[in-house]
Amino acid sequence: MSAAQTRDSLHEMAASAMSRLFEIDAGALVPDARLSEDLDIDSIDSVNLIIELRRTTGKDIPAEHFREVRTYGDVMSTLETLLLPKA
Amino acid sequence: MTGLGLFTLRVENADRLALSGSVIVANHPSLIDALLIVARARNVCCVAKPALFRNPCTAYVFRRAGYLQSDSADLIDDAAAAIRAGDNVLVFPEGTRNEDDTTLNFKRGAAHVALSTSCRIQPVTIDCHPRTLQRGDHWYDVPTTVPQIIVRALAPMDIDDHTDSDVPVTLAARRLTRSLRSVFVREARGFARFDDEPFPGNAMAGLTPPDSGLDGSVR
Repeated sequence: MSAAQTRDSLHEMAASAMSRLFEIDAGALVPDARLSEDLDIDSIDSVNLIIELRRTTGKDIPAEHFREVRTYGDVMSTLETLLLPKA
Repeated sequence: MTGLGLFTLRVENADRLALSGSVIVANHPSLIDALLIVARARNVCCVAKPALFRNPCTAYVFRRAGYLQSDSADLIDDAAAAIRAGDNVLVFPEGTRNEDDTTLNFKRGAAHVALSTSCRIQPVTIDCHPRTLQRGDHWYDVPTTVPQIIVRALAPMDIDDHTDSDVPVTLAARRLTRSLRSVFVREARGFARFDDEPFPGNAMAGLTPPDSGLDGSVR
């Protein structure tokens, strides 16, 4: 059983990583929140976030899938594509 | 340049710039800030924005000098390697020349470099009064009064308070950057230019004499 098998548990896991690494409140994590401008996440942070998500999920999360992400919604949809079982 | 009467320069605590293996952090009011520091510290490796590696005036020198490009994916590792080799890495955490001295929107790269090498941070403030050669100014826009530039090496910052291994590096870098920024904000409020223009909402404006702790050269 992976910790991130459902959409909800995946979101919970991402929110908890955001809080642990960046002290960002779950309330700020709206889909439109821009990573750089609204959430103050820089490129070094992104690398650390991906490492943290690999650690918590135990899965390989290739960094190149995150090259185009701009918002928190983009991050979540990328994670859903990578980690949720295909319907 | 001072010989040409373009500006007057005073360097305070210049002895603090005789260092190695440190991160030098400075605010960035003008075009010549990096020169002022590179001229006084040894083995300085600058972190510069990508445009300066394309600008024909600077590209050759910056590449030959092995300066580091701020958008490089290996920036932190390369800067850390330079510091371990005994060089000093000069960072302007504002990323580009600023519009004013107290907003100080610091990026966190300098903190990451210091945390990954456990090196000291040498803060340097640059007080340019009146402001000249700012971002957006033409280099030939000369102010009517001769600018006075005061370069002040502040007390070096130890990062020991920030190296708790239980704290993720992302948080440690945020906290260290906040402490560093507060040092600069406090110092910037005492800048000479505020002596004749009150700092908005700050009762302490002007209370720090601009020549306190003077022991550097006067030119």
